[in-house]
Amino acid sequence: MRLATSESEQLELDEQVLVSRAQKGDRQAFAALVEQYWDGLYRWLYHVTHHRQAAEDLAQEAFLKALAGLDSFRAGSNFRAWLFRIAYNSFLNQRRGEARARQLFPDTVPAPQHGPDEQVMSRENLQVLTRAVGRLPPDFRAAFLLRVEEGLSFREIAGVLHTTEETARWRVFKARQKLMDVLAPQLDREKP
Amino acid sequence: MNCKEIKYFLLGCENPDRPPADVKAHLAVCHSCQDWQNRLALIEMNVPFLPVPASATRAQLLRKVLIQPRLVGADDLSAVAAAESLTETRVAIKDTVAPVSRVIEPKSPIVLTIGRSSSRRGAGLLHFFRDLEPSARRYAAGGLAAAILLVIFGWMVIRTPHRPPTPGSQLARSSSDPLLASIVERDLRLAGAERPSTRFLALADLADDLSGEVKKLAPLPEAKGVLDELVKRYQKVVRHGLLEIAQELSAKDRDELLNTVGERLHVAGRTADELGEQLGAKIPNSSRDALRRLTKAAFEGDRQLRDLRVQTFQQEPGNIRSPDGSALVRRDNP
Repeated sequence: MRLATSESEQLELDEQVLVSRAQKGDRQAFAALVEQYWDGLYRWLYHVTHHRQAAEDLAQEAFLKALAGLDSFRAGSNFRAWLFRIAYNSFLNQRRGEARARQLFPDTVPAPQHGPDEQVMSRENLQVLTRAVGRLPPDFRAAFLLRVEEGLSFREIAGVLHTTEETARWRVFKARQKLMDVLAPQLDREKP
Repeated sequence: MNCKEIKYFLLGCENPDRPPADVKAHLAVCHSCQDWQNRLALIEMNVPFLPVPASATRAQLLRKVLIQPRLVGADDLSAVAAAESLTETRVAIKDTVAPVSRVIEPKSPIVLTIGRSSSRRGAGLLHFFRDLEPSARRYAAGGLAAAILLVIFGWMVIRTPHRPPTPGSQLARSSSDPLLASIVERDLRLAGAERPSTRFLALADLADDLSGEVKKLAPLPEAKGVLDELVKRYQKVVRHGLLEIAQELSAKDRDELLNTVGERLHVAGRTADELGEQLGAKIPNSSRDALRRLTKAAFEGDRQLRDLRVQTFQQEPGNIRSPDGSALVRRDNP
């Protein structure tokens, strides 16, 4: 989810401190990074793979690779993008191997936790959105979720997905367009 | 800007909820666009609420991070992470989490072979490398080493009777060159593959790696011989590897795999063609020729896989071609 600028800047600062400490061997600091990024990475991988176990394995693997390769992480660059790139590489390698059976989306959508100011869709629309996102082509879905949930720039998305900035922009464009095609009539019906 | 342009802009910008002044000005007076923007914002705002099953793995990971003094195999993973940090090349590591807890075994014979082959290069070859720029030297060395390896494995990779992989060989991945690492990994997969579909996909990956290497080396005039060798290998992998194994695929696998791999070949061909166009006169004729040959082999491979898919489809009871012959349709869903 995107954050307000000041909050985002503060997180970046915290992240830099944590990364720096972790690079010096502070495991607590790395554990804090795991706490900070696990949910986002796991969510993204779940949406990309549609498979809980695969998403968990890939997320875990990405963190372990990151821990082992922390020395090679360049201070000042985006740790989140680096971590997601490691995870995406693992996903690509896994996808080349044995194809896993796809897990269907849960039928029931759990009630989300959200703040009072946020506009939240009805349960029915959220289900439609879930299916629509699930049916996006994987490349579009991966790029779109990195933009919307992780707030990565198009350049950073390109870095994660091994593509150009323009292609990243195009994938997000197409994903939004497809979602609008599916969701807009649904949302119109619910307009007061 | 008109309404259509505004919508296109919003779809392609980083923050549709924070448009620039000129877009804002339009939105202020156009209720239709304003509604449209609100719907887009509503969709994006709700994406974080999409349901995801709970995961219990984080706790396990935290325990590992905090308790385990040093992760076994960390050197291995470190190399991977370093490669991901320094380059954007995909490093082929097949296993997921399991290898982290395994004890690293002695290098497999394959890895040792790579080491020996690199230490026995002739003096002439050394002169060749010495004359190159450092960056060119790295590419040329990688490409040449890959070519040597491919010569050794070449047909063996495609034709080898399947033998089960040894536990040690599963961990053979010490090469610092991504192409070499990926070739070793493909070879292991091919050697251990029982099913034609697995061999087919491993060869498709190998073809992708080779085409990627050709594209990387194409701008370097010094890489002429290496390029030639890589393209020849690419042609062999496509013509004699992929197309032959495709015949062995089960009808069930064919529909999906032929399409997927055909598309990959098409993309490889198209990007090689575009690169040739883009670099134009900046690259030597030999590089342009290599790209052209690669494009041709890739397109031809794609065409033949498509033909095979059509044949398979037509043989299935109940399936027919659409009237214009351009698409395949199922009888129950014309």
